[in-house]
Parts: sequence; C-alpha cells; structure tokens
Amino acid sequence: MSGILRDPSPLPKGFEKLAPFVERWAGADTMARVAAREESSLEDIQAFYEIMLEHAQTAADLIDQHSLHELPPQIATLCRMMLGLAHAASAVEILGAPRVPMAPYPTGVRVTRGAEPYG
Amino acid sequence: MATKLADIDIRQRGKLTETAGLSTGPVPVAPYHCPDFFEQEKKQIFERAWLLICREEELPEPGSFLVKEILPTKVNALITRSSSGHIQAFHNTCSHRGSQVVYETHGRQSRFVCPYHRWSYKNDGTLIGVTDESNFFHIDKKACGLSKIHTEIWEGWVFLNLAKMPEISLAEFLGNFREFFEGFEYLGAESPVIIEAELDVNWKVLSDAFIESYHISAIHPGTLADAFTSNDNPFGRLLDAELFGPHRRVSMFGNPAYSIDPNNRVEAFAAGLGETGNVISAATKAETAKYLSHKAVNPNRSQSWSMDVNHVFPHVQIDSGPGGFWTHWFWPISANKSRYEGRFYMAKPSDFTARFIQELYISRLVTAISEDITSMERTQKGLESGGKDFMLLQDSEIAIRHHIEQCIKWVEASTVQEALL
Repeated sequence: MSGILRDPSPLPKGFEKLAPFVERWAGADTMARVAAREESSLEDIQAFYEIMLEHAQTAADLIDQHSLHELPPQIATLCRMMLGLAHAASAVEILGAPRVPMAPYPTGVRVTRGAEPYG
Repeated sequence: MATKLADIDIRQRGKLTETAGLSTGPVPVAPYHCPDFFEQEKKQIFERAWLLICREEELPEPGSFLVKEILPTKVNALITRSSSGHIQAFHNTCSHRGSQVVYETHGRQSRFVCPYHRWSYKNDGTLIGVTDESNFFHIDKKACGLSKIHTEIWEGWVFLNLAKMPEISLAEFLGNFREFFEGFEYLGAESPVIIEAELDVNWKVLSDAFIESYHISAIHPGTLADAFTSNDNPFGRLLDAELFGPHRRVSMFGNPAYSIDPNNRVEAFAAGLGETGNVISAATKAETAKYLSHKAVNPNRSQSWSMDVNHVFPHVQIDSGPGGFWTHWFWPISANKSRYEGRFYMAKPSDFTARFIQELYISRLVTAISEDITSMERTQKGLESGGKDFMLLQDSEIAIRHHIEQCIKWVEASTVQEALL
C-alpha cells in the first residue's frame, strides 16, 4: 500500500547482521519457530545459530532493559529471534538435523498454547 | 493399603513387580488393538470411573465455562462456574430437541442461548427462556434445565462421573492415593503450555510410553538420555513404584552427575542466565523449594531422582519433577486412535531470562514428544498385525503391567466395588 513504508530497520542498532534472518526466525508464535526449525536446512539453521549466539548476551541485556510484556517493536523482534535461537539449538545441539530423525513429517505435534509473550 | 516397594539395586533384577504382588508372566496384547475390548473399556471403565477432566484454574472466575469432549464416549460436557463459585458439569444438550447449546470451547458468560431455537439457560443449568412458549402443550421449566453430570472437586482437580448414579464416591475411587497426594503444590497451575497431537495408537500404547524410562536411552539419545541414565544405571531402571488400587506412582532415576555439555552452547548460555531445577523444568530453584518438600515429590528422597509419574486411573498422569508438575491426558478415540494433550505448567515469566529458559524447555518438549510418536505408531502397527499374542514386560515396566491388569479387571468386573477389590 502506498504511503506505508516497511520499517527499514526492524532490529535495534548493533544487530544489523541479523537482518537476513528476521523473516524466518522472528516468527510470531511457538509454532512459527517450530516450523522455522523443521523447514530450514541444517546449514541455514547453523548460520542463524552462530550469528544469533554471537549477539545473545547483548540481546538479553538490551531486552532486559524493558518490560517483557511491553517491548518496543524493534526490541520485540530481537526477543522473538532469541526465542527462535532456542529452537535452532534443538536442531544443532540435540538432533543434529532440522527434524526428528524417523518421525513422520509433519509430526502432528502442535503447541496450542505457548508461554507468554509470543507463545 | 498402598503397596510400598523397596529401592532398587541395579546390580540384580528388580523386585518391584513381585513385591507388589503382580504376576511376572507375559501380558496379552489383544486389549491394545481389539475393537471389542475397546467397546468394553468405554462402557466398563470410562462410563463408570471418576474421570479427571481439568483443573479449576481453567474456570478462573464466576461465569467461566469450558466445553470438553469426554472421549471415548459421546458426552460433550459443559462445565461452568456459577456466580456462587460452584463448579458443575452438564450435558451440552438442549432440552428442546437435543441440539448442542454451546459451540465455543471456553469463555465467560452467565447464560447460554441455544442457537437452534433460542432456548436460554443460566450457567447453573436452569432453563430460563423458551421462545414462543405459549405454543407448547405444557413445559415444566424447573424440570427442563440442562442435565447434570456428577461433578466433584478434589485439590483443584475437576472429576466427572458419567454414570446416571455413580457406584462409588470420588473419595472411595481415589483411595489411598488421596492421602498420598493431598497438599501437593500446583506451581504455575494457571498458566500451562499446551501440546496436543492426534495419534494412530491405542490410548494405552500412549500412556505406557510416558510411564517407563526403559526406552529413553534408545529413543531420546540427545533430548533426555543424559539426564535419565548413567553408567551405573544405563537403562534408567526405576527407583521405586507404589500401587494405590487402580492408580499408581513410579519414581524415575536421574543422573546425579548430569551436567550441561559445554558444546551445547545455547543450553549453557541459558544456564548462565538463571538456574532451573533440571532439563525438564522451567522454574527457578527458589520457586520450587516448598513444592519439593511435599511427601509425594521424590518420595524416597533419592539423590538420583529425576521425576515421578502419578497415574490417576484411567487416563491421566500427573508428573512431578524438580521444577514443578505437568500432566498428560490420553483420550481414547478408537481402538487405534487417541488424542494426546500435555499440559506443562509454568509461572508467567516476569523477565526475558525466564521466558528464554521456558522456550528452550518447550522446544525440547516438542522434539521429545515427536521422538516418541514414531515408536508408538510402529508399536500399534506391530500389535495389530497379529504377529504376537503376548508382550514381555521387565521389572521397570511394572506400571504398564499394573495398568493393563487394572483395565482387564474393570472390563470383567460386574460392579465398580468388585473392580476395586
């Protein structure tokens, strides 16, 4: 729509390197993050995992300066990406694969109510 | 009397099964796939036992209501909290021509209007309005409220009994389990994370999978094995088991030497942010101290404890771990189809650290449950194939043996009293 520009910088300053991963890993809820893990290649997950982990402490410190349930938009994006890191970790650290080996896909396992916010 | 069983010695065969007075022989598999047995279970178990349906926190205030499908029966229960705070379940069936009155699954309202012909009911079940009433022949509105389902509350748990007249009270049904579990602290009960799945398995294949730790080293090598097994107890033999009539409790081994692999950098990062009880928890140690002091939590006060599974017959398990409690519901659909609902109760996070640790835990749960699905559905296929008439259970599978024995007993018993003998 004309007149409405997409925010050119959806992330706070200092986190520019994360920009290519926003679309996939800043999902609105738990199932979006599960889908990001299950539908990415291990290489892509690993790339996100490395760059996000590099920024993890700074991100945690910045998010902690705000009330968790009232985060400004850019901080909220960063927070959701950190939550995405939790799911990337399952692939990289636990499974060694994007999906559970031998499980059917889709698994049919649904998180119908997550933790708040961004559950 | 509850049967109190001894601690294990992992160098020799366990004695939990024999001490409990259970058989040690092969167990028939027909109850896991035979449609006739399933029909009998529906009638003899689910239509006679007290069924644990939900926690009262799901009905937080006057006017709150829930609609629950009580599988495997066709009962659709409308559970309300009235203005006086009383919780009562009703058949969600209009007195007029039987339509379902409430279509929503939950909400808050003090009266319900049947969408079909707009008859209206108060949330205490009373019929308050009949459209075009003068064209009916005679309606005694007082006698035409929603039909009640027997409802009892115990320690915040809502139980229903679908029989027209329950043969026993809830207290009798719970027996000694009631004393054992009384006073348990339900941390985070108002805010569960809910995980659901529909699976091509018998409901007992599903419940069996969540009450034995024998499979953990094989099925969950990355997600759970390091916490539930050790070099001394490589197959996660049980610490203990206790039987309470049709109900049961097992306590699982936990690796006392478990520590986070530093190669798991995100897990290590989270641990640096804040402390959690263990790998399957999401609360901090300060929050859990009182909860942990309850006699039903790690009843043996073992240093090598991971979690307890309390199986409330027939279809719910209440689990306790170092970080709090969680529940598994196993709803039968047919002989080879079930609905799983896991509720993992966590305090609402107040800061980012708590939220991040919860997400890590949730991701771990989703992967662990996905790991279980494959073996469960393959088990069902194997059982249905007719390739085996019996299965072999080891000592640490005592809870599976007890459950199937109880199911057979309830199916065969002509009265509930007889089933409980």
